[in-house]
Amino acid sequence: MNLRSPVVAMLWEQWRLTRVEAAQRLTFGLLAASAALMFPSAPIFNAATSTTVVWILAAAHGFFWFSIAKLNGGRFMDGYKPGFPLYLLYTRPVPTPVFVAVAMGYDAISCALLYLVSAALLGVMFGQPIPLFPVAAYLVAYHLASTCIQWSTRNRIVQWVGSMAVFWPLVILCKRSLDSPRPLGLSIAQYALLVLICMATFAVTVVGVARQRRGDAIATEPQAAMGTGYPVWLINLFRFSCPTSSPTRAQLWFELRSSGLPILAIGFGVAMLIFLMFAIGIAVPSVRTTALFFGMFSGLFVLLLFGSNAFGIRSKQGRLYASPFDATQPYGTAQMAGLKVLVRASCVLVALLAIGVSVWASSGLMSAWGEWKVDGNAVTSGLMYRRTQVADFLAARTSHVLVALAVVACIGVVAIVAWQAAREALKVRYPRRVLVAQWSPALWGLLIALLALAGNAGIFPDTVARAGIMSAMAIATVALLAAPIYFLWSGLAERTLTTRYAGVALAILVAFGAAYWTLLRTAGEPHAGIHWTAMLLLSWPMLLALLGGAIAPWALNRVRHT
Amino acid sequence: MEHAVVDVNELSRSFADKIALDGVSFRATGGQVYGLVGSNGAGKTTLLKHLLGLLRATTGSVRVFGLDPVRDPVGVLGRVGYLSEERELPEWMSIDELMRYTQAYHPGWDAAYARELLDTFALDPRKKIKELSKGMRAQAGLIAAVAHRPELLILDEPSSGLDVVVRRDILDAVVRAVADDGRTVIFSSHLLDEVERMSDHVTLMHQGRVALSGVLDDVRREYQRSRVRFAEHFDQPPVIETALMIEGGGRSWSVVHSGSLEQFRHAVAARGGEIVESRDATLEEIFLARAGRGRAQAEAA
Repeated sequence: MNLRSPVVAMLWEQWRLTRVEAAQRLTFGLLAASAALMFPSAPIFNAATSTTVVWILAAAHGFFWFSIAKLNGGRFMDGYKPGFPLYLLYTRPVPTPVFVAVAMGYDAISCALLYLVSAALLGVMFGQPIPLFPVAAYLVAYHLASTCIQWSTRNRIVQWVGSMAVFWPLVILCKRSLDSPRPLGLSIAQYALLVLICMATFAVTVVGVARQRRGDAIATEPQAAMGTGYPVWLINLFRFSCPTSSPTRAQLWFELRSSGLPILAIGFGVAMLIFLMFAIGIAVPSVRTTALFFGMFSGLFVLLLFGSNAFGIRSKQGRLYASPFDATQPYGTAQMAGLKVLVRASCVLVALLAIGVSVWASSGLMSAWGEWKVDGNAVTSGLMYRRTQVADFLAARTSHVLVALAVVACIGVVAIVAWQAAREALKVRYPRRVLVAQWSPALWGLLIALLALAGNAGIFPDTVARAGIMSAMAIATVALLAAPIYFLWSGLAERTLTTRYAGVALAILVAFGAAYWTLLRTAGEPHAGIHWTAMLLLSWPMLLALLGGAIAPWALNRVRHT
Repeated sequence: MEHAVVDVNELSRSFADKIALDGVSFRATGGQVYGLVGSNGAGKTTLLKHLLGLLRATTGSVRVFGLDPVRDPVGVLGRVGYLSEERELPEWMSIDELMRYTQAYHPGWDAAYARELLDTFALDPRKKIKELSKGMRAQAGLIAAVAHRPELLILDEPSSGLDVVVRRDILDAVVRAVADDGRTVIFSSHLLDEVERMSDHVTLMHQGRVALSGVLDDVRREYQRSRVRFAEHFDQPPVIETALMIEGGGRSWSVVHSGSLEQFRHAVAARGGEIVESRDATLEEIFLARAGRGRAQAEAA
């Protein structure tokens, strides 16, 4: 291919880097917005209007720059490597303004174009006027400002504060203009303000990048690989000597030092932050919403973020690979997989426990918030009532039910960690198949949801939706049964699985089964006359736990010996 | 036949459309140093990764100590020391932690030898891997690879990042010491003088195949470089039997050839020429003749 100029070459590079993600975001935005427009009465869309569609599309395209940073090995809010978001760093023989203009321009204009295409298409399809250029202008301004904050400095505090300072005012401005009586247009002054923001952010970025380029400002070292672990300063908070008496102890030390204890530290940090925010909420009402949001979702965030990638898969400029250091240790694959998953899951569990205790203790502070109303609703009293309900629920359970609940929760976390570890590992060997496997249930679920909604709306007969749901459940159950059998057979045939690993996994599964059965019986399930599809659904947690235990060592084996 | 430490048979491996290894057979016995040479993408690292079980053989077989490294990684890796080309070590570890961690996996760890090497390389055990230069990482990795006295030492481009003094004095000594203990070393390198200096055996890989393999002295004896003068003027390289690489022009040509000198003398005489001067070819000349442009020229001629 003959690229005629450096600018064309850089644009081509950006296109190659972002085209798959652009297609995914376009698809997601169109599907979600179509669903909102087709079924505006569905509860999740909250009486959808063109404003809902705008927010859905903006959410789909709003964080485009964020993933470009990831593609290039940058870490969010952690200072990007020089030359972000281009591979060849600052060595390109182009003036800094051109360099910056191409990167920022592509980023901002591509996402605005994606929005325009989606919005125009939806407008034509559904005959609903959806604002085009005003929102696109906001998106351009937002992307330029965000990139400016991330690229022109590597000071993390400036990056964090700057990102928030950019995000919220633009969202509020956009919301106001959408809510105004004349929602489809911006005034000349508003356009002028956005243009001013774009020009200012571009100028600031050029100055910042020029300083980095000539060495006057610190530019981050080129970060070749990603997923190499937690920051060294965080790991070194916990220093203790590596035992040399056995490989298992050394491996345990490695896992605890490299990821387990840093996760615990983050978990305790989050727990303290939650308490602090609730305490500040006594005096500062504006913090309360953030505190509640944090309290509600930080546990999930910790589970999904820190419970992932237990096998330590790395990425080098988009290429995934397993650490050769890990892979060449003389240690059994099943043992290694089991140890990595259990250590990671244990640390995540303790972090979740700390967050849970903090949320519970913090929620007690809400009584000191006094009467707090949002949109006319008394929030404090409602939340305190919920808190009492949870306390009553737990108090009403017998001790063995509480133990069963704890066992199910713990093993559930282990299964989630195992699943995520296996998914990350399999992406190394089978990226396309994993992508298909990931998206298939989501698309199938969306189809079923659309069928169900269509059935409710009278567009299709109910029987079509029911047949779809039942067939989906039957297929999924068969797959959940067959997959662990295959992985266990394959693991034994390849000598990956040892009797010890299989024994421990079986014991964990039996414990999970017993606890799960106890909980089901307490809930009065499975009762006489239960529908067969409900029975299938009830069996899924067991099957998912079994599959998690079977697929994790198999997946590690596949990346260790590719 | 002596028991093989490494026995690779008809190993083939492809990555998408690219054939990385094509029917490679390779055998290594105890107490010898094996040098793998070849241009970029020749398949050296791919072969070494198969020996470590990092890649599984799709066609053919790989046995290390008579074991399949994929099915029995503990049995193989416990007896192997490995220095990877990427030198990817956990950055958060200190050198001392790296040594202790590696020691846990290898009961035969020789702490005194590790300390001696640390002193030789002048490495501070308290330093973090993150703080080390590329060369220092290679040194730390090399100590971790050899201090447990492995039966098989596999070094992938060990010289990469090492300065010339460390390369000549220390690396050579370490490798020689391992071989003199009756253990085996397999290393890959681009540096032909290094391979010539350190190896007992040389294997030349080219486009995923073994182009040449044997005891280094035998290989060198098998190839000569001769200066040839012809009565006739040649615009194109003349066709000479057994010639692998022909350079020069007009009446005077320099030829790398295999087989006996007498056979080559007859072939030259048949074209009306004579050998002016002849000597054993260097490994670099053999490499260029077997894998480089010279071969293509000779084949075209």
